[in-house]
Amino acid sequence: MAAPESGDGNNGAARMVTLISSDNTRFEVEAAAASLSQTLQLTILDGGGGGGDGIPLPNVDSATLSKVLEYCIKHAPAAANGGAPNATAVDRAELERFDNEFVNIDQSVLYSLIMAAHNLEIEGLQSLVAKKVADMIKGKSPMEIRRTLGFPDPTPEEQAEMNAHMLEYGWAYE
Amino acid sequence: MVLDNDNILGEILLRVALATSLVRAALVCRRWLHIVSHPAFLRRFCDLNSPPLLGLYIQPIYEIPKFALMPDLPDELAAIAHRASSALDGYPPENNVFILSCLNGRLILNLCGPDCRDYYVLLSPLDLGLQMGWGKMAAVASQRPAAGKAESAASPRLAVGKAEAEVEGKGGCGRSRGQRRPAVTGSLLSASW
Repeated sequence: MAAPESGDGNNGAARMVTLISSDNTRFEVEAAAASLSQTLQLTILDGGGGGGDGIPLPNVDSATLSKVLEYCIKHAPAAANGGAPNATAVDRAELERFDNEFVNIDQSVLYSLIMAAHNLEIEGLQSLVAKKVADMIKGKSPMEIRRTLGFPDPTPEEQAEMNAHMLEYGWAYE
Repeated sequence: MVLDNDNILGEILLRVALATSLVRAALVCRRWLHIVSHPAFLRRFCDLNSPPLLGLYIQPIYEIPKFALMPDLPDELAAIAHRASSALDGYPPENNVFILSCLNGRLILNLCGPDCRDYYVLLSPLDLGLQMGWGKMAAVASQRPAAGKAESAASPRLAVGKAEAEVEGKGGCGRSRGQRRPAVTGSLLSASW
């Protein structure tokens, strides 16, 4: 792992960077994995995050960051291949299996993840978690969605408004 | 709260995949309705989710076309698919309903009216607005014979039918009907005289 710094954070060689979570935990990961984050990529390309410095991430706690990095490490090889044109079907199936397992988690963790993915601009992860939350919404009535997501019950005015709309869009409710 | 972030919520709602789910989500609260009503959002939604094929109309000879549902449709599409399958239920077999064309969820029908003339109807089985238009059309067609002389019907097609009925009601001039008749037998295009 002690390869000389190539100066190119994208080549998948073992250049390491350090990320520091909001609760001051340090994570050392390959630059290629951390570079899945568009936000971090620029800093890393500039040579940041190496040595004792570390890149502070004040918006991401350690539990969330370790989960985010788990995703990045798994997806980094495919991303390094430029969207994996030469990936085998087995590789893709394995990634898909990983993704499915990965989002099989508590709602609150999902929310932290999507927030982190949004802030760090990790497109694949944001899309994966958004899809998972969307699946929780799919096929439910507006009231069921509210309950699933832990919204307070609607006020009488809101309820009246919802009922009026439901009449108007009957085809979506039959 | 994560869902307070409009960008993230938008990314989530983009992925509910079906228009029925999107409409339901739109009613969760005003903010959600606002987000999913935005033209840019709707454009992205359409780009990301191509509309599912609900089924096919099968046209047996001398019978009303039947709608065959695609297998394994999600439950929430059942109602809207039913709408497509029952869209032609109102026509008796003697109307000889024939589907001339089917495009973007709309049908152009050719049918034989009670007065034994050709009628052309634009029908959108999934769209309430156009279906109401058709309802009016059908009413015009079915009232015709009762409204008087059997020869009263120069062909009403699409929305033109109603206006024409009024003209005839007022003028009742046989000559003007006679002049119009040549246009009647033509294709749908002739409806726009």
